[in-house]
Parts: sequence; structure tokens; C-alpha cells
Amino acid sequence: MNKTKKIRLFKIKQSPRWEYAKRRWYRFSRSPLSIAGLVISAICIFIGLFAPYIVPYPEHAGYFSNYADAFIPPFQNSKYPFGTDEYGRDILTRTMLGFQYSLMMAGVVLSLVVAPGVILGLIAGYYKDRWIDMVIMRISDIFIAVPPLVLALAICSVLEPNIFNAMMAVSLMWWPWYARLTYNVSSAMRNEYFVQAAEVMGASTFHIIFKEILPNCLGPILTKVTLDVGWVILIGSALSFVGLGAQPPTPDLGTMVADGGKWMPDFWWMSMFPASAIAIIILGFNLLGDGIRDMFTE
Amino acid sequence: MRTYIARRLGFALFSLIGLSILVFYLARVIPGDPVLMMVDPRTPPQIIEELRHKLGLDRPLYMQYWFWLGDVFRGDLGFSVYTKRSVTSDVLDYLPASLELVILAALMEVVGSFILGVLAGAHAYKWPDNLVRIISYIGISIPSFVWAIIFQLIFAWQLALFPTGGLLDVPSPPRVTGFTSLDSLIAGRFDAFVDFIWHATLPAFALCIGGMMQDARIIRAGMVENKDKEYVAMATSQGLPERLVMFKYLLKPSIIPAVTVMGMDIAAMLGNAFLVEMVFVWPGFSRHAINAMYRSDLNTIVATVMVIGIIFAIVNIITDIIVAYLDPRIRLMERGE
Repeated sequence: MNKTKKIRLFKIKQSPRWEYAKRRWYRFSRSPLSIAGLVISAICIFIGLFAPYIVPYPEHAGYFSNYADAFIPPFQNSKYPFGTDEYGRDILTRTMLGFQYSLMMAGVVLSLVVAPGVILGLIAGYYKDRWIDMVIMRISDIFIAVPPLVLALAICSVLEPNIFNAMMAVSLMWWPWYARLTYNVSSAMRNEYFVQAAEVMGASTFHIIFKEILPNCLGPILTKVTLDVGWVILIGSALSFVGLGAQPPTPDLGTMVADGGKWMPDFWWMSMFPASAIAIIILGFNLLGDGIRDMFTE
Repeated sequence: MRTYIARRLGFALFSLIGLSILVFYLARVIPGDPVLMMVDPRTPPQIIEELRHKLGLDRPLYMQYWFWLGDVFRGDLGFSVYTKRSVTSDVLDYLPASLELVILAALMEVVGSFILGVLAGAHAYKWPDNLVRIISYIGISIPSFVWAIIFQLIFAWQLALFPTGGLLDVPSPPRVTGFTSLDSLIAGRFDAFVDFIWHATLPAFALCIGGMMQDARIIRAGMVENKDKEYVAMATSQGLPERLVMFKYLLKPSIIPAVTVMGMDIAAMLGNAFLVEMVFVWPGFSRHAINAMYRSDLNTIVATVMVIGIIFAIVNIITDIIVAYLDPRIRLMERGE
């Protein structure tokens, strides 16, 4: 008697993708430093997005003067907890508005840079040791041949110094690092069996590059994007600090540090509060980036 | 080993030539007509045309680049609109002070990161490790120009332990090499040497602290990772003294990734020196270059990028050689090819 018995397969209640994400989140949430990074970054982004609506004196952003309240030290006047600058503008207001410019800088630069850098890196990695790899990687070497700050300074100085040109200059310097990173990851993946299997099955190059190789490169890329939020803000504030980025009276953190520097050491708060703000943003995104890296390393 | 170095040199040369094309293009095409920027707006057009012809600016761009490159190889970087002198002599005047600062910072970075990294690695997961971890997060997240301001505020203004800026307080020694520290030693002026170090300490420390903390973390991570390797267990089980295991067997492979990053950091210091020199009024190349940038002095801007590119390439090649020396795998791989 030939009786077929129907086997009940074990039913997966949740999708494997969701399981994977949950395991990653568990790994991330185990480290208090990563959580601290997430919280600090979230607060920074919140301040950046909503600064114009939550600051006490929105009119202090630009040309504003109230000499009666100039040079008030911090923690002494409840009206101005972080003190005021030489025009009587509130340092707390301007620092919070500075978050906006810094995060805008990071957002614009990274959104311009990541996609082209990653695509070039993927193409170069897939065609490793062919002429197209040579062309892309040698061109990216040219941009890596000097520290990014130096070339960005040079570009900003031949253009008119303002925050838009600073963003363009930093973007031009930044894409090779993504091409580099993606190239290193994807060229190592070139000879993996899953790529060869896709090739044998006749998958298109487009499919192999974007559906097979790219998803496996996302961990390092995501880590670098998070860490780079901090580094782009650092370079942007450095450009403003030397006067080749955002121009006064823009409440940019780098510009404020430089302006306050003129009044050192007596009126130290004018540069110390914006400087701490830069440090906090970089610290937050660094901790978050380290957390994301741990999340993807087995 | 020789082919390895030759290939590195070839890549570096290629990048530098590419960089020179990029910078040349940036400086000649974007800002507008260089002749009109040089002269008074009331100059008659005839003289402008003569000047244009004299400077070779009426030729096509690739010809201009070719002649410019020839001048560079002859050591002529053009004329500076800002200082009204030859850019080459400006570079020779200002570069030594910056190099001294960067070299001092590099020494501090290497020594400091080794001490902190080994301390944290040897006492992994105990309090020295946690302390180094906290310090390193703070060190990395504060940019060098903010460190410069903090150090200036605390150690120079408040505590008056160090000078607030400048190169020397005593009369400078006779100029021989251009390097103040070497010149003062040649002239036998130890007071000038000590004074120089005293002035350079704060800027150098501000310059190196971020990289120092990062490298300490990398050395620590390498030591923790290699501690569980079998060759370390074998060396320990054979009864070798702990100190020998630590420094010979554990430290050598652990510092290889740190050396690579250190090389990159030290090369990047040339960029950060731009900011730190501004804060400490250090009469170096970077400060000079920033002043030239404010005045759109194109020849100096191009020269700055190229000089820094060349130093960057040299530092990177030296780093590669040190790594190849430390890591026998790279040497053997090169021989195998």
C-alpha cells in the first residue's frame, strides 16, 4: 500500500529578515556606549531640525545688537544661561542654531558623496585588475594624495568663501574614501561562490553588482556614513574656523569658535560653548558608528 | 623589497602628477583671468596683452601646464602676489617651522600611543583599560583646533606654564638650516633650544592628541586579539618571561595596523597644522598659506597643495616600508610574485 503522508513543515512565523534585524539590535543594545551614542546623536538631530522653533531668541541668529547685554558671563543671568557675545547675542541660541548648519553640512555632503563613491567602488571591485578598475582607483588616488582639509581649503579659497562652496569642496574630497572602502570589500567578494553562481546562471552584471555584491557591503558603508557625520562636521567647522567656510553673522559653530577666539582669555565662553557643541556631535556619532560596527561584526 | 618600494614610488609619482593637473586646473580656470587679477583695473588693455604674452598666458591650457611643470622641476614655483617674492623662497622660509612642529607632534604621538596602548592592552578589561578608553573617546571627539584653544586657555593663560604663542622669546639663533631647533644646537644656544621646545609643546600636543588616542585604541585591540593566539600560548607554556612574551611576541604583530594608521595621522597633521598654527600664532607654512588664501594668491595656493602632497607621499612611503619590515608576510608575498 502506497500511502503518502503529508509532512507538516515547520512554519516560520517571522520573516528571516526581521529575525536578523532583531539579532543585530540585540547586539547593538548590549553596549551602553552604543546606546549613549544613539541618544546623543538623536538629541543633536532633534536640535538641528527644530532649533529655530525652540531657541529663546531666534532673532539673535543674524545681525542683531543689544550692547546693554553684551559680554554677560555664563551661569549668572537667568536670561542668558551660556552668556552673551560682543553684540549682546545669546550664546545658547546661536550654539543651538549652529547644530543646524553643521548637520546640514554633513547631510548635504554625505548625500552627494555616498552614492557615486559606492557605485564607482563597486564597478572597480567587480572589474578588478581590468582597465576600468585602474582608471577609477588611480583617479581616486589623486584626491587622496593630500589631506582632505588642505585641498578643501584650496578650493574654497579660489571660489568665493561661503557655506555652499564649502559643501561642494568637501564633497569633492570625500567620494574617493567611499570608492576605496567599497572597492576593498567588493573586490574581496569577487571570487566568492555566490557571485560565481550568479554569473553561471547568466545574471546580468547589473544584477550581480547591485543585488549580490552591494547588500554584502552595506555593513561597512553604513558604519562609515555614521562615523563620517562627525568627520564632515569637523572639516566643515575647520573651514569656517579659518574663515573660508560659512561667513559671519551665520551662527556656524566653527565661525563662532573663531570669533570667540579673538576675545580670549577674558570672554572664554564665546568660543568654549560652540567648541563643546562640536565635540558633543562628533562624540555622539563616533559612539553610534562604533555601535553599528559591532553590530555587523560577527 | 626593492620592487615593492619602486612600485610604491611609481604610484605616488602618478598621484602627484594627477594632483598637479587638478590643482593647476582649479587655480587657472575657476577664479577667472589671472592677468586681470594681477594688475590695476585702470591698466590699458595693450599692457595687459603684453603681460599676458610675457607670462605665457595666451597659450592653450595644456601648453601652460607643460611650461609650469618645467618651472616646478627647475624649482621655480612662480611669483607670490601676497609677499611680492618668489614662492620658492617663501616655502623655504616658512616650511621648516611647520615641519618641526609636525615632527615633534609625531614623536609625541608615537610615544604616547605606545605607552597608553600597551598599558590598556596589558590590563585589558581592568581599570587602566577603561580609563584609556574614556580618555580616547574624549581625545578623538575634540578637534585639534579646539584642543589648541583649550590648552591655550588653561596652560597658557590661566596657569601661565607655557607661552601663549609665537616661536621664540629669546633672540633667534643665526639661520643655517632654517630649522630653529637645529640652528640653535649648531650655534650652541641651548637656551634657544629649550625656549623653542617650550613654545612648541602645546601646539604639538594639540596636534597629536586625537591621533594618539586613536592609535592607543588600535594597539590595545591588536594586543587583546593576539593574546589568544596559539603562538603566544606556546611561548608562555615554554616558560618565557612575561616581559619577553609581551614585547617580542605580542606587541610586534599588534602594532602593524597601528603603524599604518599612525602614518596616515602624521600625514594628516600637515592639514590640521593649518588650524593649530592659527591659534598659537606659529610662524609656519600653514599660517602663511592661510594668509595667502585670504588674498587669493594662486601661485602660493598651488605650491601649498603640491608641497603638502609631496610630504604626504614621502610619509606614506616611509610608513609602507616600516610596515613591510614589521610584517614578513608582505615581504614574502613580494618575493613570491
